[in-house]
Amino acid sequence: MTARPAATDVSQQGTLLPKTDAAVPPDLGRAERRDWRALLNNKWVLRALFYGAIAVAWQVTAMVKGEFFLPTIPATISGFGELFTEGYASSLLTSVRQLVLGFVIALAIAIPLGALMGRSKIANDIFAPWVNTLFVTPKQTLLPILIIAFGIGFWYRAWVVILFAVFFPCINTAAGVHYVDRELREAARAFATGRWRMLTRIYLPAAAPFIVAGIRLGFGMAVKGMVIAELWILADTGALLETFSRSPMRLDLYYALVLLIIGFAVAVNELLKWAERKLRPAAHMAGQV
Amino acid sequence: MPSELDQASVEVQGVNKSFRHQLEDTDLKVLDDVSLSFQGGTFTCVVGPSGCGKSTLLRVIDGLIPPDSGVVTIGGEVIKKPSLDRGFVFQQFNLLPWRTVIANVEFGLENLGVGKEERRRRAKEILKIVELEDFERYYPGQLSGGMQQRVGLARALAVDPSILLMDEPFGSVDDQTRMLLQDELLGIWEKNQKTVIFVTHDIEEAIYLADRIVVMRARPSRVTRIVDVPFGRPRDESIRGSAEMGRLKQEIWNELKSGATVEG
Repeated sequence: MTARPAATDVSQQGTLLPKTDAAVPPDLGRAERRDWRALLNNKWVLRALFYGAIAVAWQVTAMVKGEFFLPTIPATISGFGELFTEGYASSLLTSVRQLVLGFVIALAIAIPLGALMGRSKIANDIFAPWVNTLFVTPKQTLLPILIIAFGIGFWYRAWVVILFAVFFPCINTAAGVHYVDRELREAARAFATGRWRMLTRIYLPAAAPFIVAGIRLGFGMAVKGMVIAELWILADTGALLETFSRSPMRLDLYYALVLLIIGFAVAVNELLKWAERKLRPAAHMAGQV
Repeated sequence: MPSELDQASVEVQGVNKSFRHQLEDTDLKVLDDVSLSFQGGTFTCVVGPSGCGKSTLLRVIDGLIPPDSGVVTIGGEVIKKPSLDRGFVFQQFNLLPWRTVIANVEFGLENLGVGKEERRRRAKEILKIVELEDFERYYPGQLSGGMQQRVGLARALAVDPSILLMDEPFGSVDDQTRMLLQDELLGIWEKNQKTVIFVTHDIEEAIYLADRIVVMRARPSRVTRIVDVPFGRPRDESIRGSAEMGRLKQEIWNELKSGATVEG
């Protein structure tokens, strides 16, 4: 076990316990228990334990059941290398390009539409039923319609991404703009703020934390949309996922590819979380809003 | 040619305003045929119990709320919407929490289309007047209530309005801070006499600050009395404890009491 020496390390550094005379350990049993508790309060220790256990379970299962069932961790890691050396990664890159374009279009629709719905009762009355219905519709069921409309090329895939990604940022922007503090609006009006500046200097900044949260949720949906779109027509990343998963010898590549997609989504999500924190300065949270 | 002071004089003529009471589905008369005039360059306080419509009156004068009938004219012109010729200071400060102190002060100047460097220069100048020059990079949420209201005052002063409308501006800060802010406001006003209309429910504050006090009552909301304050300028702390202060406070309180209700 690695945890035990770590526990004594901590007490020797004296960060948690005062140094005791080694010759007279007053209550060693209790001191050790406190070390343990301190370790379990550290989220990184907890995570290392939990995910370490999963990794061990993965490796053991793979070794017992064999590579047709589950590739070993080293095999999966070498699968990453192969994805890049064999040129498979370029398929992922093509997919990401469509994802990015689709996502940017989705935001270009979602944020102005959301802002309009948040500001105008008429716009909200018109668009809310449509947005709310599509929001809860399983988007997969609509894919054939998009294939009929756009074929199976670039625009089909971009539109699937848009369809998946557009709703969260739209609904969040609408809510954020709608609930801007009445008193802030009044203050801005008292300073003779024009309509356009009202939107750009009051409504959007006030709603920014909502909007970025919506963008983050929307991005998760966009990645989902990208993979589902390609699985339906077996193109690029979707085709690779299908091929690797169906040929048992290539399960290592399948796992590597899945982890790569997850890693990409997590990385972008973290980036957006960082942006979210930046847009919400400590002062903003401590202040009136 | 009307003089500068005439330009800054405010006339309220026969203003009526009702609000719909949501729950009872009735109209609540907030201003009942209010007529008042405010001479350019004078400091007027409006006192009255809560619910007497004094804040509404201030918003009608600014153009934030349209009256149901009657007009407000400033320098002879009918007011239809807010203008940067009037500066507004709110009870709850209403600063933009995502902007720094200096960016908040610049807000009105941006609306006026003042260039960036000139904006910064003027904002710094005003922040010095309200003694916040060391806090220009702070966010409102990092400041105390009194400091936030100094930012609110700086924001209103930055556009150099001829009329300053103040809605219980010191009602949300503690007593000591309030007295300091009153002195600060008097200091600023005595140097550059704008027309000030200052709403408060604090009788002593009204006497300490104003040339003239408008007393309002609730239900029906109307002006019941106008009191001239006999103290000269510049004023200092000594008048707070004077016999004349005590007499005036009693006089205004008697006036308010006759119109006050427990629920008011």
